[in-house]
Amino acid sequence: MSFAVEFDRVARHFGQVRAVDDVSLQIAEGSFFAMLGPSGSGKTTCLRLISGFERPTAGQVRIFGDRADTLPPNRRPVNTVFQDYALFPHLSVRDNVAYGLMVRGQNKASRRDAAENMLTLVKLDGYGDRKPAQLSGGQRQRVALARALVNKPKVLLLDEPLGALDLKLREAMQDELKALQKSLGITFVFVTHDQGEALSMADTVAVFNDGKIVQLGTPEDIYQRPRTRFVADFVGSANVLPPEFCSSLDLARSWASLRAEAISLTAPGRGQVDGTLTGTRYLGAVNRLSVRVGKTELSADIPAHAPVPAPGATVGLTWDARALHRMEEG
Amino acid sequence: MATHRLTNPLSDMFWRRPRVLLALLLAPPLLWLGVVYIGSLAALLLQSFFSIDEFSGLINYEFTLKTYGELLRPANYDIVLRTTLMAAAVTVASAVIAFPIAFYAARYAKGRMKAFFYLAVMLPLWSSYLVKVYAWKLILAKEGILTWAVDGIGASAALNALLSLPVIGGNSLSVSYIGTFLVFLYVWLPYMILPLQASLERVPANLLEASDDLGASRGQTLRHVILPLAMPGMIAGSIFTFSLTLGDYIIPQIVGSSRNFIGQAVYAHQGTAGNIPLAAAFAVVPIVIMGVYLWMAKRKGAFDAL
Amino acid sequence: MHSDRASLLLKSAAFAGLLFLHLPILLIFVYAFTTEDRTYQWPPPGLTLKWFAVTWNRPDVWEAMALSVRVASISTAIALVLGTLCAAAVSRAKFFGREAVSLLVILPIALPGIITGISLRSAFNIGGIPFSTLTIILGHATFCIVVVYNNAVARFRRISGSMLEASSDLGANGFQTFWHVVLPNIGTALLAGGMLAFALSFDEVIVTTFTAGQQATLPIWMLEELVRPRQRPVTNVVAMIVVLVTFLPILGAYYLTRGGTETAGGSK
Repeated sequence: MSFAVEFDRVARHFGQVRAVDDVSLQIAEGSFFAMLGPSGSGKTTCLRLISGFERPTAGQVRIFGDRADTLPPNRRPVNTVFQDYALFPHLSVRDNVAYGLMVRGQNKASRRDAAENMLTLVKLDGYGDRKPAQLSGGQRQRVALARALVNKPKVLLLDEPLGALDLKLREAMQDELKALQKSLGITFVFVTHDQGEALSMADTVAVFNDGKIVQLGTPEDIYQRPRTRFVADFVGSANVLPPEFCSSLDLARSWASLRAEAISLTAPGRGQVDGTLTGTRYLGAVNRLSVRVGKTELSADIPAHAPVPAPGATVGLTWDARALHRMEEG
Repeated sequence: MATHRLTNPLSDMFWRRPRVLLALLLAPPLLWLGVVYIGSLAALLLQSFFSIDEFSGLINYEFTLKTYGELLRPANYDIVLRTTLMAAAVTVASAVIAFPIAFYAARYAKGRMKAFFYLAVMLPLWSSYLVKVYAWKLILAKEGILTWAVDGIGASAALNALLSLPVIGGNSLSVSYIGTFLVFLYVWLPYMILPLQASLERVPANLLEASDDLGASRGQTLRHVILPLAMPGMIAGSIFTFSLTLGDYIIPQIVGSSRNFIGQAVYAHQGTAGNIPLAAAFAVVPIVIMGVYLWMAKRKGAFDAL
Repeated sequence: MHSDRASLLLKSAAFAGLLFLHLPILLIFVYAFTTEDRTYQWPPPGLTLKWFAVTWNRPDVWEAMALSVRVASISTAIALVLGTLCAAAVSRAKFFGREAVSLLVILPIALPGIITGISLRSAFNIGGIPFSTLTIILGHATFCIVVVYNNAVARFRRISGSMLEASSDLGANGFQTFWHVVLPNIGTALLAGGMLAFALSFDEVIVTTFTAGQQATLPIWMLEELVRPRQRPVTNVVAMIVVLVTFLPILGAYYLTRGGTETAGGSK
């Protein structure tokens, strides 16, 4: 199997800061790959190592088996959709899209046709003569996408592609990007700090922290079976349970995660543990209860229509044994 | 796959070694400024440590502080003091006149009015320095428009009283310090308005509203809110008015009494008198004064308004 | 409630200030037409156009004008190249001594002109360089760099870094990026900076008196007339023409950079 992108022990240091710290990684051809992590975790630097805006301090970057880290950005078979779109303000939408073809010397008529076709693909036909400043945020995003795709890249890189859009548009774009990736069959690599975005779009997710990949897997793996406390904390709202908690349940002593929505309320003494209700937060679809069990504070989501006990009441908590996921510390 | 046929080895090299590109960009301007300008300043500084042989009139190329000592002679010391006082007076007066213009333009002028104010300050700023001085020669001439206007409103007695004042007065406006002051004020005023306006633009309108809301009168708001916030702009403007007045030698030569300013002393010593070391020492005076001034201004944060 | 309208006092002080700035320049225009040729008499005894014809036929005025245009053009060209290079370097990268470079560029204009002038003069003396058109240009280009630099730096800041990255990402090499992306985006700023540099050089007198030999630029010609008036009516006409000639580049630069932060007066 050939890999679209390979990192072989890649590091990128900025002075004392190890932005990317000895990362090895393979991105399968045709996959929709997400780099997820908080800001400063090294995910954006990894993307820039693929596009060529950063050079590795150590290690090798390969694109479809060819060594890429010695090539400048203009000679790599990848294209980028920038976070701020980076459209050229002095060019029309059509000339923006045709830019990559122009600098490669393609003739005017054929690049014009290619640009128009690409604009149709992103549902912007008829907008070719406008200037980027005359477009809405969502439209600019589509132009940026068309401008990258018209070059037929082997890998498309997207840097926080939906970050600047409002919620409704973001959800619509998620579906569109997914459909586009499927129909074009190009490898998409995108960077995001939004776990919902990563889980819903990608088929493989790499979770970054402190310049390293802390977990690599399918969205389901990441969500259901976090490998470390960091992943459990960062991806969704899992309860992170200390080793003492597991011991008290007569389980092997280890850290564990338990999703808030996996817990349900029952009468005191009827569940796995009893606790004291310390607070309630209304979240729309559910009420999130805070329950103190010994030294541990647990969150439990119960349907909004279910009755909520009074604060200070003792409640029983119950869950499916399979929902409690044991993990390594770290 | 797209073919990358337009590759360029030089461009690739700049990607691999961005510092090389940086060095190539910086080298020409730095060489020019470093050699032509800094070299010249150094030459000037060097000359001020030489002295002139009083008998032969030739420059004695030996390191000495004698020339700086000459600055302390009463005649020379007076020149320094006179110039500094004039610079201070011009600076204060231009701040007073500039403030209403800058404040109105920053706070009340909108749209076209704002553009009008901007151009109305920019055009005099950029129009010819000599023409502006010439205009004042016309205005201040005995037979000129100012005398005519003063006569017209029957205020000649007041003008004569003003001119009969000791030191600042004189035979007519065009040969008095008052005249010199007016021309300096006129020529440098726009340099005060622009930075002042820039700093006033940055005072958020809601601060003034907050001050009102807290019960301050207009005067109190001006004194306690606007003026302190406008201070960096005012200091930035004063750097221009002060420095430009210190170094000017043409205005006092055209309009004013026969007593010298620093600039005239520099010009005279390097020219007809041929005393280059003393001219250089005189030229160092404004550099030192401005150095101290800039240092104090920096501590007040004036450079953000430039 | 703070009134959104200025008090009458503020308004009149502001407009009185503007009048103070403009009346003297307007006066020049009237004097160009006066029939009086020996004094600065006001009001003018009569109006005439004949001094325009007299000025037109004066070879010394034409020579001075030609020299000024030549000096300003060459100085502007040098300043455009050096100022743009410097602005590109400063806005492109953080490097050790970046602040010092900005200071170095501003210094020739921040220090009083007489210091720049006498410094250059002593350097030319020491270096044995004869005073000529070349030395005038050396001086002018030195203080014109800052005008171009200020305009270019402000515009470079508006070109986001990702725009240059986008260009290379799309396959352009460094030279293509410069030609297709950088230049179109800084073009008007450079044009404006060039116009202002031209105006600055065209008008400069203090540094020029130190760096010129026997050559008279237009301001030097005017200065001589100011110190020893011999040709009052011709001087009046030349003054008016100089005002008009410098207004054009200023207005041009203003319209080219509207909406930006360039052309702030501190650059002069």
